[in-house]
Amino acid sequence: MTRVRLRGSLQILLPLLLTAAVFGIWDLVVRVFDIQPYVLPAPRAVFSQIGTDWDVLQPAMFQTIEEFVIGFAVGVACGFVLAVAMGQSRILQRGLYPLLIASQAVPIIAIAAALVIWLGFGLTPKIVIVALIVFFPVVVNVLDGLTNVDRDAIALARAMGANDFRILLHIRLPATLTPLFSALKLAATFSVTGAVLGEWSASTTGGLGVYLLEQNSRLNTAGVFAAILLLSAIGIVGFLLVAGAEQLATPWRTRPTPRRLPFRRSRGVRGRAVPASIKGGSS
Amino acid sequence: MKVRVGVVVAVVVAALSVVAAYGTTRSAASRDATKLTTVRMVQEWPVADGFWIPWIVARDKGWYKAAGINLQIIPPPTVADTVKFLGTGRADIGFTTILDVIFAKEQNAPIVSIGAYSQSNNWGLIGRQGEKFTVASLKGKTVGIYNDAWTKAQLSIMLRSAHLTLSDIKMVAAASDVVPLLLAKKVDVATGVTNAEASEVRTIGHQKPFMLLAKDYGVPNSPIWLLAANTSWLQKNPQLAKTWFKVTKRALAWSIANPVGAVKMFEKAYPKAESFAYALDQWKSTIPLFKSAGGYFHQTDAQWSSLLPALKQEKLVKKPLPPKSYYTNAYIGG
Amino acid sequence: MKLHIENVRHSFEGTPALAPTTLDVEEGAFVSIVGPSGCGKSTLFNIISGLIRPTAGRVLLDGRNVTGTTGHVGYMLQKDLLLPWRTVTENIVLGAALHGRVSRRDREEAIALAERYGLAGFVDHFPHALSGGMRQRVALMRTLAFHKDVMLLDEPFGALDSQTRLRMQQWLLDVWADHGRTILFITHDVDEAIFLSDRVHVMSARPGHIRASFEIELDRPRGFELLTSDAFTELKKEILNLIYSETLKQLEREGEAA
Repeated sequence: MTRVRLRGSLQILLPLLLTAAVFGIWDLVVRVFDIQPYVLPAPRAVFSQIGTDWDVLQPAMFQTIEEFVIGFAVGVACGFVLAVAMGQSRILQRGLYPLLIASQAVPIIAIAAALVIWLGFGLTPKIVIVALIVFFPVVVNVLDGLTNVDRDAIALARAMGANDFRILLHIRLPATLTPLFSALKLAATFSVTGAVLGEWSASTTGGLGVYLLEQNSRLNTAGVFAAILLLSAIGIVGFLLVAGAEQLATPWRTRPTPRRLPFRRSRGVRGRAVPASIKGGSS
Repeated sequence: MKVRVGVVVAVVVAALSVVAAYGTTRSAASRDATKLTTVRMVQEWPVADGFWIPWIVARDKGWYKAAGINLQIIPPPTVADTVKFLGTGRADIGFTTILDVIFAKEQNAPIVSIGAYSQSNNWGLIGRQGEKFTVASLKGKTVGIYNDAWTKAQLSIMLRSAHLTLSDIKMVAAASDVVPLLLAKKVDVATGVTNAEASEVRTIGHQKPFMLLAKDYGVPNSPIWLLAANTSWLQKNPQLAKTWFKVTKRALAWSIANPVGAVKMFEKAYPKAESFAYALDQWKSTIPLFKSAGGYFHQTDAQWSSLLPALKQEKLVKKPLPPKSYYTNAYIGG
Repeated sequence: MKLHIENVRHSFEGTPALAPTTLDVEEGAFVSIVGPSGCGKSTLFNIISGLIRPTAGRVLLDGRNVTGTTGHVGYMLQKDLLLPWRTVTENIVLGAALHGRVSRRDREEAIALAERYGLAGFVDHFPHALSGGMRQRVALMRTLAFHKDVMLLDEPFGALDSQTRLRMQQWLLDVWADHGRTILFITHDVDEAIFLSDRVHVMSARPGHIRASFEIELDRPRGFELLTSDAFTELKKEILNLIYSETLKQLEREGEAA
């Protein structure tokens, strides 16, 4: 009992202590090397900047979060669907894969301007940029998961008379969850950069990226770092949320049993992909 | 097994020879340079543009070398880095904007303006050919701007002259270039200067833009660009700074008298940066900006005292200093 | 006759893998198939289960032609193939799930099976929390819960250590006694084949056919003391000799081909 509690609190305490240490070292470096405030501001200056400009930073933060979340969702959905389609068709896979790789080799900054001219200045081009960044790791990982499903498991399912659809549903798709979440954790951190790049291309809306550029133009590096801190916070929270979702969606990776539902026992076992049936079934 | 070892050895030898070659070329360069004094000049923009013509001409005609100067041109990673380089001593001279100098001085950066590049404010609002507009007619229109604070401030002052505010217009901020948006009719008007955005509209958009200049609508008529230097470098090398200006003035005069030749030299030095047509339009639009009663690069108190109160009012500067704290004419010579 | 395999042979891209084989298995029998590696035992199972349509021949189940069709027999492999994201119970009902619906009765039966055969506290556990032996038990329960009269077991205990294997063999016999299914069993372990089966078929070298069949007339229930009895040892000697000579033949053929 005590051991678990200690580990739990240590899990939160340790990163917090390390973060405090990083800020401490940062402050020390600025002071010891007498760094000019417009090159690297002290942490205190950054925090006070966050306080001063909070009325601007807060809506900017929500703007960037909106771009991040919607773009992330779109990217994941497209990536997943594409991966499943490519997993089912070898031709599609061979044909599309090189195009997908090429899409990632193009620097986002180069296409951002073109996207803005097509799609306007609002939310849409930013969502597209974030989605572009997110969808590729999702496709690669989910496709990997699909192609690396144990052939013997599929043979077993076939021997049991399952059709292709049921094999997809019960054997192949669940095998994609683990690689999917790996991709999502990566994507959650990349997406923040994507949102900022989108804001940098052209914008009528605000956002932390826009704030960052404005502060940079005024040589207010404390402002730049304020935006950076908030962007990091968004990335960290995003990552933690994905990690949490991973825990819920793939409990078998870390737990011996699924989480208990209060009414589990009387119904038998909680099914996930399997629908429950109340009347006597057939065999 | 044997083959693998061979491959590793070959790679290591290749890497070492590359490093050695690099080392020898570097030491060869510095051997030449010890006869000359290196002056590191950081620019205002990461990519070469026609504003650099005076010192490119001076360099490529060998006039700096003849005066004992090895000019090193340093493009900054981003526009905000120019004064950072100057302030930290990574550069000696900088081609920068008046706003950058004011912001830097507010943060106690050791820099000072040593010469005005242009003598007036040539910033304003640019519209497409045949689309005349007034400030008042901008109500409800879309304006392409850049993400810097002084653009918004100047725009705000201009609008005030027609009793409008920023909320009466729709602003679209572009990070690098607002002209494509104007040409693609995604914005109604764009902010810019006569010798960049307007040049672009003329040469790339193949049309004559309609322009309203900010200084006609209440915005201070301060020059946009100037040359600044690191103060401790100036203290140690006053003669070098003066010599630099002497050479640069000579190149400037030549470039004004021979615009086509000057642009040709620019194109030779930076063939991919701008098209010849654009660079020529740009340089020709810049030439009128140099004219000054006190001679090229001359600065006055008025250039600063007209600007600083406006900046204070727009909350961009907290504690303006007296003009003489920002500039000195000590190095530009007679 | 429960299972009638008639003149089945198979070639993979022109290379013969299974020579014409005929086999009859009566209802409720426990029959083992042994033979040198690569002789085609697994191919035979794949044909019976319908995963492969044989180049020639037919498979009749209860008189019905089921050649090339799947879903008629239970099939268990050396790998337990438990799906990691399903609990023990959910793995046991996999057959029903793959056919669309898992009823409450299916689930209750699964739990009952698990509890009966020593996995009472583990019905809601994920496979990674179980030992190898436990996982193979679950795999067998999954095969049972598929409710097919004929079960094909392809070296199900091959990956287990010898202690666990002994326990599992005993346990398999108990389960077979309870449920009365018809079992075909592939193994490399001749002891295991003799211990478990009513009949042992020995396959020849590749491409295999049934070279000889041995009736195992040892009384049931069989205990471990049987493993060292004279009758057992006699059978074992005969079968081993046969397999050994077949293995040599196969090695010679491979040597010629190389």
